[in-house]
Amino acid sequence: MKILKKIVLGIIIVTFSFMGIYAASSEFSDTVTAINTLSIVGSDWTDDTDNIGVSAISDQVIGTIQVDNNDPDGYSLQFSSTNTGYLLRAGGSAALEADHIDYTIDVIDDDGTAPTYACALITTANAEQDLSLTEARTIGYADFTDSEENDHLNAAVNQRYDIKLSAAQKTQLLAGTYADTIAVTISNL
Amino acid sequence: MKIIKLLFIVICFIGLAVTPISAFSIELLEDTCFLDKPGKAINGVISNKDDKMLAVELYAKTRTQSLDGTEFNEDAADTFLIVPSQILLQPGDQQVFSIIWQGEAKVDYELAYRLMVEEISIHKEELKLEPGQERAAKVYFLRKFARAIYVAPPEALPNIIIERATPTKNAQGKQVLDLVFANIGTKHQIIRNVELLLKPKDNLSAKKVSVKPKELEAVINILAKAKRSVSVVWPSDIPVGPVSVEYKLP
Repeated sequence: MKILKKIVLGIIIVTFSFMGIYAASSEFSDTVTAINTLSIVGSDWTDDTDNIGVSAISDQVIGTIQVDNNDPDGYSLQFSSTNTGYLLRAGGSAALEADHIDYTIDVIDDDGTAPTYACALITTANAEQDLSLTEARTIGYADFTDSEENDHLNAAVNQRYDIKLSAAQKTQLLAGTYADTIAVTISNL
Repeated sequence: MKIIKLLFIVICFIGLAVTPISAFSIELLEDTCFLDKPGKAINGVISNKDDKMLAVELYAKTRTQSLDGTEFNEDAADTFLIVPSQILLQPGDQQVFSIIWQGEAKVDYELAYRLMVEEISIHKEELKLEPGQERAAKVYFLRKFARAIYVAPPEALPNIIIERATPTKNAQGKQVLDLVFANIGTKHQIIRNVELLLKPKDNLSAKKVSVKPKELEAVINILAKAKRSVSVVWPSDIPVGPVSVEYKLP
């Protein structure tokens, strides 16, 4: 009987020991959900002042996009135009000078400060300003550790970019409505 | 002073409340379709965070890269079955979708594609001239997502080598080191903050010099069997000439 008691006691001790080891070696872990949201803030820009072509447009905010993205490898934004960078007259032809206005865009952080993200993968020398959308333009934003600052930058939360449009004066335009659609594509690497 | 602060906060809240934000998001539950796994599919979720109905179209494109990293995409409609490929979402709704591989049962190395999720404009307000008005202009915005997806053989692994290291001068006449990274492995590799270990080729007893070029801080995705060229400013600690180069990832 005593032997049986000792065996039971032994089993209990061994079991509790293992539980103790398990408890000591268990770790807490959790995951942060991936976020990848692209938003347009406000309504589409309209100019109904009869000013189109009459006077130049300078840095007119035509839209604000908002990015929420926590991909460790960052993201890139591509801007492309349905009318290859023209505001085109409804029913008109891009081949006719009187039917279109060339424009360029700037992509600027809406608080006017330097981007939260360091820029990588920039495809042109000055990729955020004076972009003609005759071809698609891509700007990369990557979250990387700055080797000099040794500073790990943050995920993009409510990161807003103003899209500003500039166009030269063009008095020979025909009467009508002029429009373009800008597609904003967010890509991961 | 406290009242002014309070007023400012209230005004900010009102401003946020009245500025309409149309948002939608996409999340992939995995980005790689392994061909030894059942289903051979990638699944994802689209969420409409707008207060309006959202229509989107899903399609796949191939993905290749040139030496300078420029991406090329071509239609890959026959390669995947996407279910559903067109989605109409009510405000606040979510929809699960699947991208099912329709290609060869076996691939030798990982193939790269892009899943495109494109907003279809259903709320477009046509611009009209008012009586007496001569001209008006409008710019519409459309949102697209281009997500990297891969189809991979089991146990695919990356293997990046420096294939070439050439001293040269760039267009501005500055001395640079042209590097060509080649991924001879079977899986893509994302590199960043790359450290280089350089040694003059004519002095094998010389110590390796470690440099972290600014140009290699950027995030670079080298697809399987692809090559990427990066030009870095010549490090001042090394005499200009042929060099042997190794790299280290953080």
